[in-house]
Order: sequence, then structure tokens, then C-alpha cells
Amino acid sequence: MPPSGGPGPIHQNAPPGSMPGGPPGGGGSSGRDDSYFTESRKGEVNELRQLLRTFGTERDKQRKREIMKKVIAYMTLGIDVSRLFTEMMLAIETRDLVIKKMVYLFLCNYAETHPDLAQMCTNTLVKDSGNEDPMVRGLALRALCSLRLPQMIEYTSEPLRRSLQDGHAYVRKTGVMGILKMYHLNKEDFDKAAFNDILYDMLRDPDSSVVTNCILVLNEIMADSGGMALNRAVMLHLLNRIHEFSEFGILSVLDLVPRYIPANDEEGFQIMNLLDPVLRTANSGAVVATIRAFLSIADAIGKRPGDARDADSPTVDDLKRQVCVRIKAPLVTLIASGSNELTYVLLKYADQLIDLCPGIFDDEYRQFYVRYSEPTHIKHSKVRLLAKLANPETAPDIVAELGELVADIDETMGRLAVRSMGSIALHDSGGQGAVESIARRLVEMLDLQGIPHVSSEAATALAGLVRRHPGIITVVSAPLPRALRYITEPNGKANVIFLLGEYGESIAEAPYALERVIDSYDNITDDGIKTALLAATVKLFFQRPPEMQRMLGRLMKKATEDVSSQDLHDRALFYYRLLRSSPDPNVAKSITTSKSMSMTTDQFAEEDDSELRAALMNEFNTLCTVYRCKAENFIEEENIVKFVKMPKDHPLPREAIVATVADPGINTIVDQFGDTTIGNTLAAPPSIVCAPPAPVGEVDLLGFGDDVPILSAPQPPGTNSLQSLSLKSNVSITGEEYQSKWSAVSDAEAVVISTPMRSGPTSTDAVEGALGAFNVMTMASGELPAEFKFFLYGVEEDYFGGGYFLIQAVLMKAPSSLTLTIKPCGGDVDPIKRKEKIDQLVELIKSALGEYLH
Amino acid sequence: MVASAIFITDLTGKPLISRNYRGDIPLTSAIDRFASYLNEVEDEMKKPVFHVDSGGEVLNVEDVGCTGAGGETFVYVQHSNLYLCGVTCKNSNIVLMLTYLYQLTSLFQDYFTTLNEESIRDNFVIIYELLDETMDHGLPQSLDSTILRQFITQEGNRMADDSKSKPPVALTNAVSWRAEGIKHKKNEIFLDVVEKLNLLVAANGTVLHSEINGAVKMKSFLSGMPELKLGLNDKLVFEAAGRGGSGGGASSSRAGKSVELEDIKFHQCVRLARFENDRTISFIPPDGEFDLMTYRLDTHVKPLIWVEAVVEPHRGSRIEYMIKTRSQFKSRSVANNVEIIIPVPPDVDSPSFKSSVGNVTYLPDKDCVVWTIKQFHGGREYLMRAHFGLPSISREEADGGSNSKGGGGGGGTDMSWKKPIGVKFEIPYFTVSGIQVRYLKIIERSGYQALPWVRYITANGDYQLRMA
Repeated sequence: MPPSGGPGPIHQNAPPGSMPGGPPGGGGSSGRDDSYFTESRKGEVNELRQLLRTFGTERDKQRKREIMKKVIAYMTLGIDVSRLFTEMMLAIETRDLVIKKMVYLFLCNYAETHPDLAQMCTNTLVKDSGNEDPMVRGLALRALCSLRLPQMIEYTSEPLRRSLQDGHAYVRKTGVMGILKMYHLNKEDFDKAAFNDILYDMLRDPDSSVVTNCILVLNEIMADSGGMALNRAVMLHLLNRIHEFSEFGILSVLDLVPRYIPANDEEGFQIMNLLDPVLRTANSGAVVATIRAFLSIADAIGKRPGDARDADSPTVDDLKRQVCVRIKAPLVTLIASGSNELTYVLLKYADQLIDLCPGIFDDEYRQFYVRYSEPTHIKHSKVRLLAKLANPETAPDIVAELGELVADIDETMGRLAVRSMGSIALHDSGGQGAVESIARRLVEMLDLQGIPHVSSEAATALAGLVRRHPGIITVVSAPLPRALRYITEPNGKANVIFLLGEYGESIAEAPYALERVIDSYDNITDDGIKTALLAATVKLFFQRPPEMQRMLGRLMKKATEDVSSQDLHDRALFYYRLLRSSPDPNVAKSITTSKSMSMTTDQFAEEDDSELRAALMNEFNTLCTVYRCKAENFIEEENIVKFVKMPKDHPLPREAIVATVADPGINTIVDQFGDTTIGNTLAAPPSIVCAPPAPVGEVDLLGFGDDVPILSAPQPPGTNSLQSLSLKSNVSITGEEYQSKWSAVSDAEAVVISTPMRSGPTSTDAVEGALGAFNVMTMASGELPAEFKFFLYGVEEDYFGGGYFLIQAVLMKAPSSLTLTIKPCGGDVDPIKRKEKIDQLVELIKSALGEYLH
Repeated sequence: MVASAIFITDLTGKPLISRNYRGDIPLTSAIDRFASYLNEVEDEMKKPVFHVDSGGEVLNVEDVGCTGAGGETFVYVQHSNLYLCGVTCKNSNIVLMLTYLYQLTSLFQDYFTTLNEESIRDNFVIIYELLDETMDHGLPQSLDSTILRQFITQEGNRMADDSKSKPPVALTNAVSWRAEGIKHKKNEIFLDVVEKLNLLVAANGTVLHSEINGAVKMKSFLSGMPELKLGLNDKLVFEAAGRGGSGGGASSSRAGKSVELEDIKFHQCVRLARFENDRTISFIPPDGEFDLMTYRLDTHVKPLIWVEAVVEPHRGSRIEYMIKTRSQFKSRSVANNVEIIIPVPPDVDSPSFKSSVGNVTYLPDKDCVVWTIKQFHGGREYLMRAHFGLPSISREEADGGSNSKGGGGGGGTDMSWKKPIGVKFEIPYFTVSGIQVRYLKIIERSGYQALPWVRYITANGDYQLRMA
């Protein structure tokens, strides 16, 4: 708490009746401390100094404490009492623990601003850290480490080392925390290696609070490599002792679990069973941490498509669903009984879990009904969530409940309720007939004249809905011309105009409704309405030319002369020129009235955040979940702790590969193979871009350009020309081998090639099959929202010891592209030959995937 | 979790006491930002977790990350006239920070009985000690009040008294929640089974949501290190809490007296492994008050106290209410201190009431009528009529009629008084779930006889009936 000049803010709040500036320490009654916070002036600090001078001779313990308290009270107020430093230091020699603590507090507060003076009290602190009372030892050590003075390190290290062997756990645990403080004080000279060894040793300390602090400290000191290094022995040791830990201690262990890769499936299940009781503890932090741990284990041990696991073992998705079912009840309890702040955060978590595992909270939907007494932000979160809980069974109730909220006095709530309704219909999650019944409700809302924001939102929702389910236009069309008259909000109005333009053919009054708007063109201030009006009028012109021609002309004139918006102006000119210059009106018609607005998926493109969601799952139970934002976007880089799964040598990494490199855009995720990130590898400019194999040039010269064998349609292996590479047909390697080979080749040797594709494959199997025909084997593969990912390998058919080629292939879905990262392993030593072979391999893969390429 | 600093302010954001644990953020300016957040952001927009970017701008949740990395996140909870706030500049575990703040609040309450501005001022020295002991370098340590009391006391003169001075053993021994050598003259333990009924009823009378939040609360005054074993009616314990671990779908057997407990949570003293194995609840209790277990039950409970309201507004002249209430529990039981809170429009005047039982009062400052019935026996029905005058021009009239067609409400123009009806009650010697304590065994090495006292009570939780 840095001192601030004048009197602090609190005393102004003191009850007016309390004695202003009463004699400091006077009264001596320990019960009434109000006088500490009364009017104070500069002079009083001097008075305090006088009092402190008598401190040494003062016999009465209570009076001594009163004096101290007064100093601390001033400090709390923000009054600079650092001038009393010298006097306070004299008071440090006391046997009264209460006074001692106050002096320590004073020291810690002002040491940074008075380093010279603080240094003088080091001796006392060092001496105290050898006191016979463990409490004093601990306190002195904590104060010593908290001074935040770099020059103190040399004095501190000795007592610190001693404390780690102290007989009393309180001192040891304070000492462990002291190490962290030293680390932050001077990271360069910090003897990481030495202290890390000690800390790892101390993980075996009989006292759980010491162990807790060791974990916390190691996590921070080793933040660069993702936190405390984990291996099986350490993890199991900690898990086996988990029942010894205090409520908060458990958390330190639980936070390690998501980073740990279980040695095998069995171990993963064992860990989950072991942690299951934690879901019954009252500590909400521990419950949520367990949830994260479970999800992470499920991720590690579940079966993925294409891995060589037992057909019976559950898939990742199955496991995750099971986990979600298990954690549902505890989470709902926390949401229901928790305090508002916690509920707010947990609703965000629930939101993310629903994305992960749609439908899990559906049967608890009543739990998410809005209560009158809840704070606004919780109500809003609940209304948003309700839309995601709709299924054919729950939808009628949910829609009815949302209907109740539409007319709420809170405008945002009304809007959200309408949007949620629209979203249920849009995603068609309400079962048969729900779309239509919701559309009817929304149409009713169009007529809610008194509540402009609701009718506007309803119009917006309907516009989206009609794009997805064109069939419902029959329900919607009738009130549109009417609605156009009294919907006032620009957004809603623009959407009604859009609908009139798009479906005006079947709405008799559409032209006249538009005409009214066109006539009042000069009164429209919103560009969105104008643009929508222009587009709608042009579209409708092609449907009903005789009625529209005149008004289109008027609108064109207005819009081309309108200089308020560049966009509008240009569009108007575009339409004008198109209509005037087009020789065949059908061309213009096909340009303007293409039904490009109809949707084929359930989602608007801008709502698709699957990539972000995958990334957020790794950071579950942190601020990222609350903000729905990746850590690197709002946390300073030096404060980010990378998420690294450990230990590297565990035999399940092939799953982990897919799991951790979920998003090639995240540069912070370290891949399993080395220190560089896959993200970086991919982002790096391709060193060789599709270099054609050398022989091609020759062949071309001879005029056979089109008949180059390796570029022709797929052929069975073996019939390839000599220049082409041929791979062994019967090879298989295990995941471990694959991984060790991959990490054995440095990333610098890897060749990265990317090429655009005409279209993406529909499933991993198709690609695997095509490659398999050329003896390119698949180690693991997986489909991610935005891409397919394959880990491939092949062995060169060569009597002189063929080398391995390890290939990572990423097929982006949209825009389609193929990126290959190839690492040669063994085989030809000659770099030129090696490069040649890689080029051939690339061509081989390209021809195998010919149907997707250009 | 890493908290850079913790501070406590009054409702305007003036700091009362603060502790900067890590020194990685400028605390004074952080407190200033918190104050400006409190004062400048609209109440509606306030959220318990918010981010301030490196330029000092408070960001909406949606905007976080748009203005670049850096800045701090604030997490705060309110308690009476105080805010307790934690600040972090890392990607911290936010539930943990909230848990810490909640526990800190209850710790302070335990120490000072009431936690408010006054008690903070009166006890600032202790608060500094507690802040130091519960958190070191921004990482939470021990927050157990029974243990902390061992060595952080108002007197705290142990060291001056004798030189052998006991260290805080309990802080670090295996039973971290109980110190050794506790002595009581009379060995007693009190057990309260408290159930709160949450209810939400729609305007048309259908029950939208009902659930029971139960707690077994204990007050222990036992000497030594007693081993306790609690037996509940076994049906409940066995059939509850889905044995298979995959709890969700144990919804079949409603036939007998079995009850589905959705979720049971225990105090950390309960041996969870034991419970998982053979469903016994065995524990060494902490000294004093604590919640042994809490549970949630999501069943369709008949609303214990049913309220129907018929409202007849006559615009510009008067508004009449007819309230009918019925108790839907066994006639042996009695609900005490029943309060039925009926919201009324803000501009009513000249109230008059007629009721068959109890007192009715109009509270103009809360815009509601409270009907109090001291003793409400089971299976009874009572009626109350209320009559108010309305001013000839209503407040809303100027705004034009927002006759809420889709809002499901007829009549009233102003939505603000369409709050739900609330009900408060307490029914002693009764639990909605049917949970019962069969036995409480107390075993201590010295072999003393201890007296267990058991009470049951059912009260209202969030009990709301929406008005038509």
C-alpha cells in the first residue's frame, strides 16, 4: 500500500460523534478503536513519534499495543507514517507477538520506499527466524521474504535454507513460499536447479500444507515450461495422498491432473475413481477443478477414430458424455445454491459444457428459469442458456417461459428472450411443429406496438428464420406490410423490408408498403434501412415490374443523389448501371434475385466459433471461460502459463497430439515432439513450394508434358516410373516409435509444403484409403471443426535400408488447402537425394489425393 | 489461483483495508479503478467479474481481448455494506477466487460476529493478521476458523506469558480442522436438519420448478477427539446418490419412501471414501458450528403453502385483491410466522383490509402488502380481501398503453408491480424430503457420555408465485 500524502478517505466516514483528534492512545480502552480513524493532521504523526520514543520505557503492555495500533491505523488510512521507521524498528525487539506482527507489517509496507532503513532491521529478522517459537520463526521468515528488496537476497538465503529443514511444518511451508518470493525478486540469479531439487524432494514432506505450497511454487517457477514437471511417480504419489490435503490444498493437486497424461486407460479410470469423492466436497473450487480434471482424462484415454484400440473401449465423445452426466448434479447444485457471484461464473461454465456435450442439461431446464429476485446479469445468462436447452420435450415449456419474459421491463431481457426463441426455431431443436408455433408467436410480437424493441427483435428473428425455413413465409407474410408502419427501430425495419423484397411476390400489398417508405425517404436517417430498401425494391421490381417501375425510378434518383453513405451511393449506382446497360433483363434479374440468402446450415457463419471453443476447453475453469476469449488476448504474455501435457514419454501421446494441437492457430500450445509449436511450423513460410521433380523438365522438353506418369491418375504402386518413390507395403510401427522418430528429427529438417485444394474430403477414411493404396500408412487421424489432421508414415522400398518418412498432413476445410510437414528419418544421407525423395513423396501423395486437388 | 491483492471497500469504493500480496500491480490505482467501476457503471451492467485493460478502461465481457493484452481482472463479492475484492493479472481460477472471498467473509463473521464497515475498523489489526495467514504471496493457505483461532486471537499474548509457547500444531496436523486437547464441561452436540423449499409457480398455477435444499447443521461441544457416526433413514441414504457413480438417471423408484437426492456434499471432515464404500457417514467433527452435509432434491413437491390471487383493477378509481391461501401439509404440523407478501402498484392509497385470520399491513416503501399469520395449521384455508384507491391519472398513463398482449398479463399497464408473490414460513418438526436421523454415535477414548440433540425444520427458500 503505497503511502499517499494527505489524510486518507476513511476518516471522513467516521461517526461525527467520535472525538476529533483525541489524545493519541489516550483512554487506553482496547475495545473502542473508533478513535484511530478520527480526524488526523500532519502534526499527529509527530505526536506519534513522541509516543513511540516513550515506547521503550513504557511498562504497560496494553498501552504499548495501543501506540502500535495507532501507527498501523494511520497506515491503513493511507497516511504516510514512514517517517516513524526508525522508531518502529526499535520496537521490533519485543516479546509481545501482537506488537511484533504489527511491526513486521509496518516493515513490509514501507521497506520498498525506505530500502536503507529496512536493511538495518535485517539482523533482527534473521535472528527472529532462529527463535525457539516456530510461530515467530515463521512470521520472521515471511516478513524477511516479503520485504521485496533485491539487496536482501544474500541475507535471506541462509535462513531460508535453514527453514526448509525446520522441525515445524508451519516454518517449512512459509519457507517454501519464501523461495517463490526470492524467485520473483531476482529471476536471473535464482538458482533454479538447486531449489527445484529441494522442492521436488519436499513433495514427500509428511505435512500436506508444505506439499501444497511446493506444488504452487514449482508451478510458478517453472511456468515457462508449463508448470511443475510431472511424471507418473509424482502424480500417483500426490493422488494417493489427496485425502490428507486441506480444502484448498486439494486444489493444487487437482490443477495438476489436467496436464497429466495417464500411462494407460486403466490408470485414467483409476484416477477418475479416486477423484470422484471430491465432487462431494463443499468447496466449489474443488468441485469445478475435478470437472476439468475428468474432462481432460476423458480426452486422453478415449478412443479416437483410426486408432488401434480395442473396439469396445469407449470413444472420447462417449467418455466425455459420461463425465458430463456424472458432474451434472454437483454443478447444478452449485448453480442453485451458490451465491450470485458464483452462479454468474458457473452459468458460463455450464454454457461451455453444453457446447462440449449438447443436451446434458436439457432435463434440468427448470433450474435455469429466471427468478424475479436475481441480479440482471444472471437473468440474462439464463435466458441465453435456455435456448440451448431446447429439445422436442422441453421446447414448449421453454418457449412459454421465454414468452413471459418478452414483455419484461428490462429491455435487454425482452430482446434476449426474443432472440432465444428465434434461436430455438433456427436450430430446429424444438421438434415437430415448433418452428411454426414459434414463428406464430414472433408474428404476434410484430404487432406489439407499445414495445418497439420487441417487435423489432421479432422482425430480426423472423428474417433469420425465413432464410433457414423458407416454408414458414406463409405464416409470416400477412402482417409484414402492417408491421412496416409501426416498427421504429432501424434494425427491425430493415429486416421487414428485406422480407418484403425477398418474398414480395406472394404478398399483395408489398409494393405499396415499400412505396410508403420510399416516399418518406428523406426522413430516413439510418443507412441500413436505405440499403435494405434499395435491394428490396430492385428485387421486387423483377417480380412485379408494372407496380414497381415508377417507384424504383424515384428511389434510384434519391439514392444516387444521397451522399450520406458511400456504400449506399455506390450500390445505387451499381443497380442503376446494371439495369441500364444490361442487354438482356434476365441477366440483371439473375444477378439480383439469386436466392443466395437461404441458409443450409443451422448457424450463421459469424456464430461459428467451434475453433475458439476447442481452444477454450484447454483453459476451462479460468478467466478464459468467463470472457470467452483466449488467454493471450487479454493476459500479458509474461503472465501466461502455457498448457503443456506431461509426461512426454507416456504411451498415449497419439491421442494427445490431436488433443493439444486442436487449433493450428494457437502458437502457445507446445506440441508433444519438441519445443517448437506446430502452429509455428505451419505458419512458417513453406521452404519448398511444390517444387516439381527434376525429371519433369526433361520430359517436357521432349514434348510429353501431359504424359508424365507420376502426374497422371492414381496407379497402383510398383508400376510407377523409376523416378518415383516406392514405399514398402507391409510396414507398421507403434505410436511410441512414431513419436520418438518424430522428435529425433529436428524441426529444421522438416519440409513444409502447402497447396490449395479444389474440394475437401468428407471423411478421414476416404483420405486414408487413397493414401493406403500407395502404401502411405496412417498412424492417427482426426476430424476437427475446421480441418482434418493426419499423422502418416511410409517406409522407402530400398534394399540398402530404406528410411522412414513421417508426415503430418493438415487438410483445411474452408478454404480447402493441404499442408504437409515431412520429416525424413534414416535412409539417404545425401541431402540432395533426400530432398529429391521428399519431392517424389509429395508428388506421390498429391497423385493419391488427385481427386481433391486441382 | 493467483491473487495479486485483496482489498475491502465500502459501498462507494473507498478502501478500508488492503493487502498487496505480490506487488505486481499498482494497488492504489487498482482500488481507484474499482471505485470508478462501482460509481460509473450502471447497476444493471455490473458483473462480479470484470476486466480493466492496460489503458484503464473497464471492458464489457464481450469486448475483453479487443484492446490488447494486459490489465487486471477484478472479482468481488458484496457483504452488508462492504465489498471484498480480489485483483489478478493472470489467467486465474475464478471459482477459486470467489470461494476464497466467500470463506474469508465467513471467517471474519466468525471472528467479529457481524461483518460490516464498523467491525472492519474495530478489528483492523486482526484482519491484517488473518489476511496474512489465509493467503501467502497470493496463494490461499488455511481458512479454517477453528484452527486460526488457535493462534490468532484478540489477546494474542501467548509469547509474553510463557516461553514454551505452543506452536499452531493444528494448522498442520492430519486432522486439520480440529485441535487436540479441546475440553468442554458438558459434552453435547446439536444437530439441525434444515430444509429450504424453492418454488416457482407460473401465473396459471402450474408448478414450474420446485426443489429442496437441505442441510444438516451441527453445533459440537465435545471434548477430545470424538469419532462420530451418523445414521439416516437408510432408504434415503442407500437409494440416494446413485451408487453407480453415474448418478443422473436413478429416477425410477418413487414408489416407496425413497427420495432421490440429486447431490450430496459433505464437510471436509467426513470420510468420503467410507461413504462411497458402505454409505456410512463417519467423521471427527470440528469444534463449534459447521454444516455437516448439504443436499439437493429435485422432486415435485406439493407447494406447502398455496396462494391464489384475484386482482380486479378499476382504472382510475380503485384496485381490489382477493387472496386465498391454503396449507397443504398434515394437520399435525404448524407453520409459524407465515408472511405472504403481495406486491401492489406504487401509486395506491387508502388501503383497507378484511381477513379471517392474522394481520395485514401495507408497506408503501416496498410497494407491497404483507399478510402475517402467526400460526398456520395444516389443511386450513384462509381468505383476505384488500381494497385500495387509485389516483385518477395513473403514473404510466402519459406513456400510452402498453397493453401487454404477449406478456400474458391482462389489465395492468405498468409491469414493475407485477412482481411475484412471496411467502415466508417455518415448519418445525417436519422435513419435506422425509429425511430422518436414526442415530448419532459418539465414541471417544475417555468414554464420556455425550448428548445428541436433533431438531427438524422446513422453511421457505426462494418461494415465488407469479401473479396473473
